[in-house]
Amino acid sequence: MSLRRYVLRRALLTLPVLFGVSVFTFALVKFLPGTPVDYLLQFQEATPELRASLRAQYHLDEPLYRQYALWLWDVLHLDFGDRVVSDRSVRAALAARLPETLALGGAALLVALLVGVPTGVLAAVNRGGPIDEGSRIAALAGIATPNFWLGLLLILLFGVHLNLVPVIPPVAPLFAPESLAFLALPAITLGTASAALFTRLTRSAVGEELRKEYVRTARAKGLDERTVIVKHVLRNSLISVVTVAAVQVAVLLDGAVVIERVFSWPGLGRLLVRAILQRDFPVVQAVVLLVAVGVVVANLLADVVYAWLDPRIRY
Amino acid sequence: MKDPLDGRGRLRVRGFDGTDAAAATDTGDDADAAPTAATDRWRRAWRRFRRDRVAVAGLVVIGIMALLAILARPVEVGDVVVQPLALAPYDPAASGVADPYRPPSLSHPFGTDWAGRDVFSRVLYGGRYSLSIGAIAVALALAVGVPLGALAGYVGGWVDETIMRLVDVLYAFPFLVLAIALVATFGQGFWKLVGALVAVGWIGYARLLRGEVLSVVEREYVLAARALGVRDRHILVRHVVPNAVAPVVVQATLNVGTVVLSAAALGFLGLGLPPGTAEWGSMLSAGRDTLVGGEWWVTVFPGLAIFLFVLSINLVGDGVRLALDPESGADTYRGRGTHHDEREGDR
Amino acid sequence: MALLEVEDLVVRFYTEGGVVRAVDGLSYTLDRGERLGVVGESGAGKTAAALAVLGLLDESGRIEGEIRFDGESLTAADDDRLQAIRGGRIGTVFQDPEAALNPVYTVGEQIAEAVRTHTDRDGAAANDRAVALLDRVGIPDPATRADQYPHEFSGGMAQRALVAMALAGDPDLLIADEPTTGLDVTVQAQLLELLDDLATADLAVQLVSHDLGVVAEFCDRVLVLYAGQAVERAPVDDLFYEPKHPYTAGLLRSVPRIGDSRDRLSALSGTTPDLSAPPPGCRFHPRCPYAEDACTKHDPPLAATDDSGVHRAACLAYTGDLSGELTFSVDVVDDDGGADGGDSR
Repeated sequence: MSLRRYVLRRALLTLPVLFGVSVFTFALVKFLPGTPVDYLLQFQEATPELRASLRAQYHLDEPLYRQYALWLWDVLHLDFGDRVVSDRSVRAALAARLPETLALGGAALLVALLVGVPTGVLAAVNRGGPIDEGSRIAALAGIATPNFWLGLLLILLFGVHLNLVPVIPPVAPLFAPESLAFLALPAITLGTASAALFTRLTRSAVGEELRKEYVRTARAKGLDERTVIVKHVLRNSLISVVTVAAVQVAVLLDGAVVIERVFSWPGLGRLLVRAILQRDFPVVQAVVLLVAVGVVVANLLADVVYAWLDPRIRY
Repeated sequence: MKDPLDGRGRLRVRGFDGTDAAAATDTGDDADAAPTAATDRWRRAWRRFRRDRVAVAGLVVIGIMALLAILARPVEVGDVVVQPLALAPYDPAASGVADPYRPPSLSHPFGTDWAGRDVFSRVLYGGRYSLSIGAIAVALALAVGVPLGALAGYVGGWVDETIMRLVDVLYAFPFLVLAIALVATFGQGFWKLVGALVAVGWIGYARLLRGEVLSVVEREYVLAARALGVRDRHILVRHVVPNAVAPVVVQATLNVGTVVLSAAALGFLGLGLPPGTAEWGSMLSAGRDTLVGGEWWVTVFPGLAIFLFVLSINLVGDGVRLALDPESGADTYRGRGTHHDEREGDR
Repeated sequence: MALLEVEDLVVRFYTEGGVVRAVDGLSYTLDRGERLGVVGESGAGKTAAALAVLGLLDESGRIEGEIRFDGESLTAADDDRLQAIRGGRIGTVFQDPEAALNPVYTVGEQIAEAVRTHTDRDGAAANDRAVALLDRVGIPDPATRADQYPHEFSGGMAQRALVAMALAGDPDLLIADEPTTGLDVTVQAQLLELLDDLATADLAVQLVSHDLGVVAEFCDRVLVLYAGQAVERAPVDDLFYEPKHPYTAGLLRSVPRIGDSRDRLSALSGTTPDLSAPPPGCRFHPRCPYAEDACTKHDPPLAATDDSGVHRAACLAYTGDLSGELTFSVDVVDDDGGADGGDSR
């Protein structure tokens, strides 16, 4: 009951942020030199009538606040306008690309958590031992490696030299086996830096929890060390891991923009980069907005999980 | 319940004249007692840093890379040559110094790229872009973020609200996506790239410093200065900021790595410096095609340079953190991104 | 055969500042159903000694000597065996009950976990047993309380819950390490009442405390520790009315009364010695008003102070090596101020 109220309150608090995000995204395009009409008309002869009708279509004669309101109204109805480079709607492009990016980001987050958390626990439990030292060095290297370079090297190794995986994505639906097999390499590439971060974070969180008194109580109860670590210590450590996992959503989205280019993965990131090079600003605007909303939602989600993990938050 | 003392009054021990212990005097020096203590703290931090061999090694590597970048080609200011040396055997921009895609050899230790440019010369020279972008962008971001964060924390009220709401909104945009959007809006070029990185970089410092300031203003020396009627600006500049800025310095050092990685990523995407520039990231943008053709050297060496630089700066950053806050231990590793600290700032 | 026998226990901690001998040659026994108090200042090794029995010392702690529980050597036992004994035959209650409970599990679950570990009850049966244990330790409305989290418990209630947890395996021995420290006066008294109620012929208690009042109220026998060593061992009445060691007398200088918040042990001048470099001879001599030259050279054994050998003290006065005499004595003063004699017996 109280959890529900907490979530509701937390969700309400995101509304001002979402409002700010929309204003910022709107302003971004308003700052552009020229108007969308100029872009549309750059390759054809612009009669004053055509120009006037296009200006009316884009509400450019309205005051700024009204332009924003009209734009927001459309966005709330998931209408992001038409692309500049084609007659297709921006929505159709987003709908096609979003699942690809979600799959890539989700797989990368999974890789990062599955590698980072257990390694961090082992490092904390064997503090100063070979696992600890090894993971420390690996984490340092993982964080310093440019992800696009890592991706290129992995392609070179697994795609070219060992010929284990295809170099270009298969033409198949997203959840077809060959697509998922192809996804492994980009997911590992994208997840490496986050895995390194999770390793260090988990190690630090577990180390801190191990010093707490409830651990001694758990041992004094006669629990075996495995239960003490997994059930008691790890559960408490996860609270801080979840917080960082939400932050990593932003980092992973950043990485996806680059990694999608490396692996020719047809996601939002490639759409964004191509749209910028083609000056397809409705798409840029929509992708940026979508990504920001995604980050806000991820943070909200993390707070919910946080509250669920930590009963002290639900008051 | 049996209690030997019950109902039998008090016990008094005779013949035992232990003098009451004088409470142990607290001789511990209060590290944050005053601004002079703050300068002491920096001096002590520097001593600790010098003893950290790994961090010093990182600093040495960065120094060598910077030196190589400066000495790679002559430096001219106006028409005056201030640095005449040229360690790089070829002009990094000159194409056709050899056949395209020559594998590494004695005359071209890192091989040549598709235009027949010497990769070794380009990697040496490329340090100029990456290092200067990293240093300038972080310095400017500090110059924006620190005053804003200090104001927000110290003045509070609507100033705080305005700044922090702006920070909240900007935080919703991932670093690179925001930088890309800004580059898209304002165009390409060295200073525009730096501008975009500053525009997204200051947020983290403002947020971090605000949190620190909020805790520092509660300390006694600040309260005492206020009680004495010292002007706010003086308190803020002399007492508050010097004592609150340490975590920001740590974050900034680590962020140099992030910024260099981001700039390289933008270059890789073709959105950073103009195409063909000998910047490490841009040099990799053709990497995918060359891999399939087997020309691995075009990819490996520029990437290795980025890796080495970012690794070194992170080691330095770690050393700075340990030197400034030895209690924190080697645990709280923070790597990539300015995003990590966002929660701590507000809680 | 005693329930718990500790012989020549040495606990060393390997720290950056050197090797700390937190416990140094401690021997004692505890019979079935007996209540032993272990007192001393903080740093005297009380907690280290208690943790050593359970094999719960930090990784940096090393044990020497012999610990036997019900005839079985605990120092030689493997992890499985120790886990069966911990929480099974030996229950433990620690200081700071709120920190001793895991914040993210309900109190009932944490007790049920101990029940599942040490009995063949499972699932609902274990939960029922947890509720029954909460009821046993006097927590009102135990079924509701079992579903609550530690932060919803007051300090006293949390400590009761920990007692319930310690009882889950139906133990023969309860080790209580400063169980009342940090609790309100009335709550302290209630908790001692609970322990008094629980400690029957089947349950021996080793009560570790710096609070002489608590020990006086609860224990049969008392062991006084100083700097990792036992300095006096006696039945509780003897210790309080006829202390034989100057340190014990120093401890008694203020009134031991439950709930007195003053730290009466600080009434002694000086501080406990640095255990990585303890003073030579008798460790108490730097603070002892009766110290002589001999005290700086000879480490006194725990010697009998009377013919029965029940009351022992580690002071050269009882080995005949002290030229002076210990001249302290205990008066019992009525509340109206009159003294009724030097010796109560």
